[in-house]
Amino acid sequence: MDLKLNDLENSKKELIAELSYEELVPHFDKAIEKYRKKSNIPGFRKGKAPLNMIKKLYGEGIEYSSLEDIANDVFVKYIIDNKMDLMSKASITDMDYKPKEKLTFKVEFEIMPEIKIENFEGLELKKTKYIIDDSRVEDEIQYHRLRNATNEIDGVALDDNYIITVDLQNLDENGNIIIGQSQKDLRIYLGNDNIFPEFKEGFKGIKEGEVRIIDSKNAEGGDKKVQVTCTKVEKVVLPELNEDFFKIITNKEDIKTEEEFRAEIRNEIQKIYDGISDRKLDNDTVNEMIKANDIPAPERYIDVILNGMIEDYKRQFPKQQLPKDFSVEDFKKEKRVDAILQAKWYLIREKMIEDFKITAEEEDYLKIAEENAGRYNIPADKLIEAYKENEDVKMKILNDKVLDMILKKAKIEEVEEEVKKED
Amino acid sequence: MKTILVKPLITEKNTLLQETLNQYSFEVGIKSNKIEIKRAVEKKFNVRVSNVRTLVLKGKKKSQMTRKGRFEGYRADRKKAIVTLHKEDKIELLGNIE
Repeated sequence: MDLKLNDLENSKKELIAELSYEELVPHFDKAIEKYRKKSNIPGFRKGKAPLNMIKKLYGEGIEYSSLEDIANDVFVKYIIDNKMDLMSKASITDMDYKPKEKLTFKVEFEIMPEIKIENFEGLELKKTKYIIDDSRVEDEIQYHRLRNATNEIDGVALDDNYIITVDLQNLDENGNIIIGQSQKDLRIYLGNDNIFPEFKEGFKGIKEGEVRIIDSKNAEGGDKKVQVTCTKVEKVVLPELNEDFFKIITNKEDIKTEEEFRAEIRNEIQKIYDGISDRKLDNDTVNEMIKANDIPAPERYIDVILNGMIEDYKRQFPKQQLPKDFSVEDFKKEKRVDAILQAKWYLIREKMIEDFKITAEEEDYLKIAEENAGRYNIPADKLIEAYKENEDVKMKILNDKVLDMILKKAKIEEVEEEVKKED
Repeated sequence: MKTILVKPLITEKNTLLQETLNQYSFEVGIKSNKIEIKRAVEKKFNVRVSNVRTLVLKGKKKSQMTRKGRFEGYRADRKKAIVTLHKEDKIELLGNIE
């Protein structure tokens, strides 16, 4: 038997095998014997016809139909003997059988690439330190005050601190109603920055029962007229900044003064931005590791990740049904780069877990359980048992440990960035 | 010309007879006798025949219903010959198999 292994692109390989007729005979005999057991020939009980009779009647056909099984047996034996880690289904790309002479075939397959993590120490990374500006804190407080505001019926909208209820009707250039282009009972907060300027201007000083016509633009940029009928005007009464309000927002009893409240709000915003900073640093670390260690991404891995992405995308729709115009091919094309990066990171991570014998310990599970116990209102000792069974939790712990290890050996530069009022 | 050897009979039982007793079964012409059968086998397969036994298989009774009524008849009788060869001779009924 002549076996030759060729390297194709990435981690793909090609095995070329040549078997002489003498090597094929035992395989053929096995196939004929197998066929004999199923054969039903007149004059013989089922499976009792003599072997040479089967050979004479069906030998050639059995030989041809057993070629694929022979190729499979040879291939599997080669993979086991050479301790190869097969990643995808192998496919026979070429097969040539010359009766009574030889069989030649080619098999294409993908194996787990050999990975060496050489560069993980001294990565140069930047960590963003977000500085929370007073305007951002003020914006947050204003948001909470608006959410807890009360409304009082008023006759006229004097400033932005009003909510108006209106009916909108599109008109043609001659001022005639366009049927089917109207909206009823639309509640609009005049302090909302997203209102088109012409409407903001048009709503100024509007009274209950008043009808106005506002010149605006349609989606294509053409002129249009909108008839606005105001049916209700409500004044927004913001809550006072007192202890009751502080308690509602922070859920804490000990916040008494406005300074303490502002400090608490700033602290909460800071926590959110610290989380953003950590996630950004993790992403940058992953990207830098991929750049520093050139690893081929196996096609099988990429495909599994892309299928996972489709499943996640599916969950966004009711009954988990993809839209009719959804194209799997286009989706996979669009997300392919992301999938390649993910595949490379998974391989790097797996290799580091293996090389440095990183494991998920009892205290790691306990830490996550304690963090989430309050959120789900389940005792940590009960949660920990569920977490130990969960493969996703285990992978998260291992992922965090790998990232921690890389970050401990990285050169991290801190960069400050101011967070102002949101646009 | 009278047909002597009609066809070899290949069944599980006959295969067993071939393997154990070097006996081969043939369907032969109904009017052929043992001497004719012996000669025919020796000539056709180039072997030595040491014994021939024959038997007649009676045709089965068959009936058929038609619009004109019931028709009854018999299938043709057949003759079977069991030929014992010289212990050194052999017939490849299925041809040579490589």
